[in-house]
Amino acid sequence: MQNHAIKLANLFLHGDDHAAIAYINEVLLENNRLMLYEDLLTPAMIHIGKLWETNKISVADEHLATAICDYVISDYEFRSASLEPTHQKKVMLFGVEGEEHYIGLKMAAAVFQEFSWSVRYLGPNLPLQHAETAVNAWKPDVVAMSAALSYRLPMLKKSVQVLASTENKPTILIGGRMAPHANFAEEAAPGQVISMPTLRNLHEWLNHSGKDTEIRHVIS
Amino acid sequence: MSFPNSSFPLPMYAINKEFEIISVNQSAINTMTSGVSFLELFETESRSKVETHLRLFTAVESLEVNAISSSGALLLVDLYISWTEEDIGEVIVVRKDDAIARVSAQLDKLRTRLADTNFELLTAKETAENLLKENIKLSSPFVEISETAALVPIFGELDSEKSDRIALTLTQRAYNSTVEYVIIDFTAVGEIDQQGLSGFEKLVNMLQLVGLTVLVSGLHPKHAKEWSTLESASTIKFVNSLRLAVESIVNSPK
Repeated sequence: MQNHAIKLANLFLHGDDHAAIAYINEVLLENNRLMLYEDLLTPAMIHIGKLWETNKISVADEHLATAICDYVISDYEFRSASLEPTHQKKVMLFGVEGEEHYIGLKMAAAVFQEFSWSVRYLGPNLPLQHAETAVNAWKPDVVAMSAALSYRLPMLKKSVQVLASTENKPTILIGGRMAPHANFAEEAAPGQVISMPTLRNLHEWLNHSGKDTEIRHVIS
Repeated sequence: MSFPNSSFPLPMYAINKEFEIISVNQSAINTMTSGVSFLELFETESRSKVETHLRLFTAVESLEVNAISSSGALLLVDLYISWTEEDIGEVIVVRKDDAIARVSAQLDKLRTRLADTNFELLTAKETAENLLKENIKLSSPFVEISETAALVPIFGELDSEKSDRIALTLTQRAYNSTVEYVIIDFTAVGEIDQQGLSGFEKLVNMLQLVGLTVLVSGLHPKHAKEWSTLESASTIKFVNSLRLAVESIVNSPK
């Protein structure tokens, strides 16, 4: 799969959306969203990050690749007939203030949709004040936020504190590269925060929480 | 050491093997943040990239990284590095063309707009669905016309969703009231689909079970054909018009 991901990364960098989609159809044996997101797109984007670190590509290339990846996800979601949200549970997703990375977030939104949750995806760089207003108005059961860079940790912590203490006390999920580093979570909002480093973790968690009537509060 | 040309227009640094800053020129002071270590001039995610390339101790051309400006903002820059025989690293910082930033900001704006539109559509869809539910609820009112009789005129098409909704409201209302007769009037019904009809049949059975007499009035000839296919049609009392239905109740022995 790693080779496929690298090849896909190159297609992203060339800005070739048609070839990228054709390639995915070729290597993805079954129509499996988790495999596409976790084993192809995520490693492809990580590879692109590495290329920047080794000075092989520029930020401009990275932006182009991100746009193509974004398009591929939208295209896939459009084609796979999404279930009508039959679930009573509601989730709101966004990237914390200042955070511009959003591909992972978008994929997480699609995973929630697959489990027929009622989903509100508010995109990256959402000011905390807006997030708070939205949570108070819509009262989601779960608020999922992500941060990719270490200097967003203070903002992430603040967001957890503010949103965890809103009226309906939502469960907070933290995704993105900073998920494993969200050590502050237990102290900021005890028993209310779950770290979700990968989409597979999210998938498993949704499988479990679907069976339980109550969402379990665990911190990994 | 000092630079031969102190008014060189690009930021210049001289660093030692530990990457500590030995000297800077005026442009560096003006545009970049200050620090003891050269690495402090870069945002955390770019530091390892700078360090990895410095550790090669060879000349590096156009190393793209995010630097921190004197005002604390992020600056996308290219570094040009060379090492002298005395192990002094000389670095020139070249700011990237703003065009990239402009284009990516434009892309961001487009993406945000798409997301907003998507969001608005979603909200509109939810509103429409709620309206439809409300509409269905309102299209079968339960009107008590006397102590013993109630009229339920149905408006619009009768499909399975509507007959389910009617069943729900009707059984609740009928249970809480004293009526014995329910007239269900079809005068304002357009189309009836087969599923709606079988849902309706269940409703009638349910009403009869709680001891109510059901009269169906105002059936259109084309409806009548549909009805005849139903098993329980024989137990339902059909009346030509609403007027006859009301009269038959009024005249019926108490």
